[in-house]
Amino acid sequence: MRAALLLRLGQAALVVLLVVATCFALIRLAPGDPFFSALDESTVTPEQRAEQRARFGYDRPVVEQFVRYATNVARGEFGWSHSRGEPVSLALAATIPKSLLLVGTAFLLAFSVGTAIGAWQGWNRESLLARATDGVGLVLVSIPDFVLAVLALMGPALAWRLFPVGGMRTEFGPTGPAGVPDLLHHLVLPALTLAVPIAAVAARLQRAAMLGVRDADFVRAARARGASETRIVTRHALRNALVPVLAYAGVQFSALIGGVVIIEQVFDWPGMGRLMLGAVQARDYPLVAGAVLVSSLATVVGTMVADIALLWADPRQRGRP
Amino acid sequence: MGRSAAAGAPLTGRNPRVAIALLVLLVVVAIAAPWFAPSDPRAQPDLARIWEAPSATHLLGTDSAARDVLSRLLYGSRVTIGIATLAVLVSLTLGTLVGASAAVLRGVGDAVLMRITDAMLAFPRLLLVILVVAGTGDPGTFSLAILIGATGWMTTSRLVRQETRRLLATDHLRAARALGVPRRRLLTRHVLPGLAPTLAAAAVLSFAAAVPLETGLSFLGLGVRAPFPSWGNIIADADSRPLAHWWLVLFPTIAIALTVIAANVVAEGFARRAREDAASGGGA
Repeated sequence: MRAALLLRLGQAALVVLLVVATCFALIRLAPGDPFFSALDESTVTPEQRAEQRARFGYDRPVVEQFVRYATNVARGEFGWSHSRGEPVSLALAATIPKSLLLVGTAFLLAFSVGTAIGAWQGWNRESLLARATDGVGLVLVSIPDFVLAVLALMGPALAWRLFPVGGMRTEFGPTGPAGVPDLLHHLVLPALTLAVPIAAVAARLQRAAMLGVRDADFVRAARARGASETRIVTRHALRNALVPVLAYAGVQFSALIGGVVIIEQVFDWPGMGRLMLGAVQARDYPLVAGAVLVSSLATVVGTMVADIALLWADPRQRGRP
Repeated sequence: MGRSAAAGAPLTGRNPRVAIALLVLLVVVAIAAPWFAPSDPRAQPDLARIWEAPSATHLLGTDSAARDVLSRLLYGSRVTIGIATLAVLVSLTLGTLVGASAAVLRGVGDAVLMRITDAMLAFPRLLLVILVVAGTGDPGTFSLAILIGATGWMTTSRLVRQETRRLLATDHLRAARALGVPRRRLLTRHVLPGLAPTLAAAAVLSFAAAVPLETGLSFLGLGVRAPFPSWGNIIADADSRPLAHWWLVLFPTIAIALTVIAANVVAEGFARRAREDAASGGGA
């Protein structure tokens, strides 16, 4: 168990290091000077440029710069966002909770609904409804999230006017506790769109796993002992069948972190994903790098939590590298 | 460690042949687009006729620059399918190299390669691509395909590693080794042909992932950019008023969905076949 945990930790550290290095490379190698992109190049004398570069340490060896960048990142300093005129860390801090709300809601929704549907499908394999919903699942897995988002915008938001078209709150609407229903109303469509493909994947995995345990000896033994069908499903079958779904939760979490960028853009959700895309358009490299760094940290942590949950749920995994 | 990149269960009663036929048809359409398409996808014949709904002159309507959507869709299939295909080739090459090396090296080399694969797999692919696109500005079609391929080889390498290990343990390979067949020849003449079914399955899987990635990037304005057509940037053109300009959403959506569904059904077919082969005692 300890060896397996240590390995996961080492792997997570490796990912973080790789990401920090990639982000550093982006800021260093990106076209244009980090200071003069907004200025007219011709009015800046070479001496001024050299002075500025020296001031910010850009004349130092690359290794030294990298170490400094990494230590700054470790302290939560990601540099200066020129497109927003504030430190990157402030811009991120303002948007991270909004993205977390979206991702968290979607994650809970996807896994609770997805596993429930999949378990039901697997247990009632012969049922016509189970087959039909399985077909729907294939379609939902296959449609990219940005398409789902645009479709959700067209139907429920624009045509039927059930939900707001975008944003997080009604302008000049109630704030504080009184604004919570309004916030939830805005949250429904983006969270659902983000959750649906993940739920479909979770359902398919859960379905396969349930099929695998349906005829297992321990299920027959439980039935022979006279356990009720509900008890067989919840206490015996589901518990064993959850393992493959848990094993995939980490990868799904990383899909969520990628998907939220697109969903925020389509639904105008003022989170970190939209901030990142805006930064790409503005060539605000420190902000792009900061947002990517924070997202990947979130992914690493999410994946680790999922892996540890798996180790806890399935003792067989502990011995494996 | 029990994580499967191929998400999903086998589905009974879906016919992979129909799906294969559909994919072949798509490729044919993509190649033959210049003969089919009613006009140049970049032509703006009459700027007074922007955002026209489908009609007899423009079967699928026009976009924000009065370009013919049918032509853009047909030429867009060239771009989207072409990028996905090139990306698949890159993924397959990298994945086979990493996976086969891991299987042959065993021990520390195997562990290092597979941990790198796991690490890459855990990282959101979209973010990685956005990071690189941000650094290069406008990457261009060819680089975009390479980039998509270079971030999608992990599934292939896992599948290839597993299959190579299985093959290396089979009787005929053990016999070949016992006969003194050199290692390189062993790999090229005995392992590689045996990998073909696995590679085909991996190719379809990475294709099914590459199409949404490219269209998504093009939708965000980070992939293929106007005036060049991609199924993704046609939809992006309707972004401000998707309901009023529904034809810009509907037709590319159908194209994307059909392509990815077909690829997924074919992948399922491969998976089912592999399972049946294993069950009938084909493998050691």
